[in-house]
Amino acid sequence: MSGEALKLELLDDLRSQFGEGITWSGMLYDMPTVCIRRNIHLQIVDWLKSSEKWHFNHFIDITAVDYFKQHEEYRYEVVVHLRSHSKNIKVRIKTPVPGEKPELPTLTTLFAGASWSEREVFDLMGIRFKGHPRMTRVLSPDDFEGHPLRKDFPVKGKHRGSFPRGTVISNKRREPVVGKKTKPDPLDHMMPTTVWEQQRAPMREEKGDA
Amino acid sequence: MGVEPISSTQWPGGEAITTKLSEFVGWARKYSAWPMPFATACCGIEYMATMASRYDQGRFGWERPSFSPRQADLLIVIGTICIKMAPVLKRIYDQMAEPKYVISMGACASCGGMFDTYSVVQGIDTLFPVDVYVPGCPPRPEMLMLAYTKLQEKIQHESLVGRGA
Amino acid sequence: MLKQVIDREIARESQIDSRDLYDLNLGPSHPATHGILENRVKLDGERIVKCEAHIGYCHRSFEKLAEHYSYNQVLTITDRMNYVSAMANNIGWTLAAEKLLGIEVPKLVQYVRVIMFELNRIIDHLICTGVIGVDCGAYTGFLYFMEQRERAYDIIQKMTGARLTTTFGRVGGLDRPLYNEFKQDIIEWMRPLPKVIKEFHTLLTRNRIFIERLRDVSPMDRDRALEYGFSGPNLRATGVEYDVRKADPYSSYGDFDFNIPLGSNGDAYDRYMVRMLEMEESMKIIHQAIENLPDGPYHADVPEVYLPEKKHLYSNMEAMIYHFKIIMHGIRPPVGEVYQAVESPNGELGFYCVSDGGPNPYRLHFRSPCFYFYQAIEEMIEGGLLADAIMTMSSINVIAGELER
Repeated sequence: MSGEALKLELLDDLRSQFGEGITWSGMLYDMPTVCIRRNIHLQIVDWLKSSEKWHFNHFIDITAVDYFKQHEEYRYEVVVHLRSHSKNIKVRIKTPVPGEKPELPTLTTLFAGASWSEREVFDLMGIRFKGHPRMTRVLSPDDFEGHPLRKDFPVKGKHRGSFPRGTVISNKRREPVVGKKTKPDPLDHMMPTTVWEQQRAPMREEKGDA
Repeated sequence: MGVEPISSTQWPGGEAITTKLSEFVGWARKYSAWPMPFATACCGIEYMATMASRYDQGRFGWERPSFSPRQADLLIVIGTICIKMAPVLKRIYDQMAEPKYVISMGACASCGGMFDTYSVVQGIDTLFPVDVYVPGCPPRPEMLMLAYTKLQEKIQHESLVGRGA
Repeated sequence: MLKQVIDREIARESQIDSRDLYDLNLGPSHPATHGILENRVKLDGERIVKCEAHIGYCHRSFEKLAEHYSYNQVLTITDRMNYVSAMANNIGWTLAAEKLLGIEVPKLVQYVRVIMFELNRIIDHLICTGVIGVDCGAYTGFLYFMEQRERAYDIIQKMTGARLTTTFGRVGGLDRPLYNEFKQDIIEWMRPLPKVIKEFHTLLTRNRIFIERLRDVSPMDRDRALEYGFSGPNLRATGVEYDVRKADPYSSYGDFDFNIPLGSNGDAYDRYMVRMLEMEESMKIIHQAIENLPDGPYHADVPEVYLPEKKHLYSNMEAMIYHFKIIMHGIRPPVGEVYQAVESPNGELGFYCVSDGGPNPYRLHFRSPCFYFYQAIEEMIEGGLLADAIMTMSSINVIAGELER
């Protein structure tokens, strides 16, 4: 069976199995994709893994995208990529998650590789996964505040003013040289911003310097 | 070093050399520093290339990289320092005994490099004083060797009383 | 053999008093961890009872930066991910962006990409196997391999101008035409390689001490490896035949004839041998590609995406307008999302790019292979000796830049 026909057959099987749970399904740049409702997130992955025909046992990726103010019903979308080794086919599952109290059930019971991926999604986006054995930050320091990859977090961070530039730690007693206010970075406005991104935070917070 | 050989007619045993104590100590120190490579990221591969056989760092006398700060004289910070790593690095610097020198290798260690983000320390000189900065992303092994020679000049001209005196 | 003795002892002592356990931090600054990784282990003598892995000491937030960079500037970030084989990441990203834009590149570009990709695979495996030797105490083989790596750097410098962080290629093709002596240089570089690899084999592969250090150290089960998301040599060492070059060919890999070495029980020795054999397969691919190198343009004919040459820019009006539009307006792909996977030397490197029609990617996620098999380290080193933990960490070839992006 050729690759294209196999992918369409997978989409047909998914549609027949989870009729109303799937809001959209189709091929996006040669990857079969389904957009589902939140309540069947765990069931669809379980069905894909345990069905004898498809047997999606190879874990590829879990990530999340922040569609800040693009859609009214949800803010984030958690994207799961899976692969079936016997059939050599990949699938993408997208689950919308709302902005207030973002939560989803965990996939660690099915795939061991989901444990750190879900921790990374929690660390960078703030989406919690219920039932995860160790829901802590993985890439940022443990006492980091905020979720960096959200669109309203500036890329230069929020802690820059905490040690003023020019403070030198030395054994001579010296007054810290508190930097003067610098001009705003011209590169902030030189590159045209993305079409959806007029709501994105500026690169640097307004206060302080550097 | 100020070398003034005294001829053998004056000293029956042979020749002697006079110099200042600080220069002699500097000469001894500069050829025997024990570096501690603190490699974090891409510059670490260029450091490994400097240690390898084509650009050999052993010919400066710095043959023994020590991985324990308590036995090291020279801390070479190689690569990006993130805010999670900064307290660890500061503790390692504190554990070194005087006299200690720091080379900051690479753009990321010197000034944050191309990563002007929330998670990267913008230069290790915000944590402790640095002796030689090596720019580059990553710096070629020849640049690192130039940094070694500059540091050797600096060590040579240090006073015995204390650094900065 | 030693592991069976230890297992018997574990079974005999059914309860370990927790006061006897020794907390050790194989901490972020450690000579044997490649890159900065932290493993907090509880030791009972030399045996590791519990392990907890902490990462994040090299998190440079590439994904957040990429949202502020244009599609060609993202190439500079991808260099720094798997920095021992930087061109592999560059090629993967250009493939992903070209898929998003729907660009088909000419055959010469595809063949040159294959050659540089395989060259980078060889130099990545040279470092990894050399470092496996160093961690056992065998420093000589590493020096032999580093010399070959330096010779490869000479070629890479002539191609791109830099040794390590190459920024190879552009969206739509190569960044400059091939230099004249490319073919001779590659053939000349590969000439002494089989002999050097054979020398390394005689030093280490049948060496009794080496085999005792690596045999039966952290074996990995097939199904567990698939569940974790392993890929690349670590997965092939467990016996699963998955190679993105064969499963999902990209950039005309289907034209070349090569084998995929497989291991049997996924222990450290199998991972080492898979890498050594993969180097020879890569040399076969480079030979085939170099002999059949086609002629043609070095970039696709897409003036809206690929910057025109300077001589056209100064003489041709359309070229100047295209140049102006690309620089000021940016490359704007259609709205959509794409996932492109390449077989990097460590495994399946994936790029998940969401585009909103603007000049910067809206969201870019790097599916780095190291992240998925470093999760398994906790399971792999528990129950083993401390020395085995060091060999595990070096044989799975974890690169901190890729692990934490």
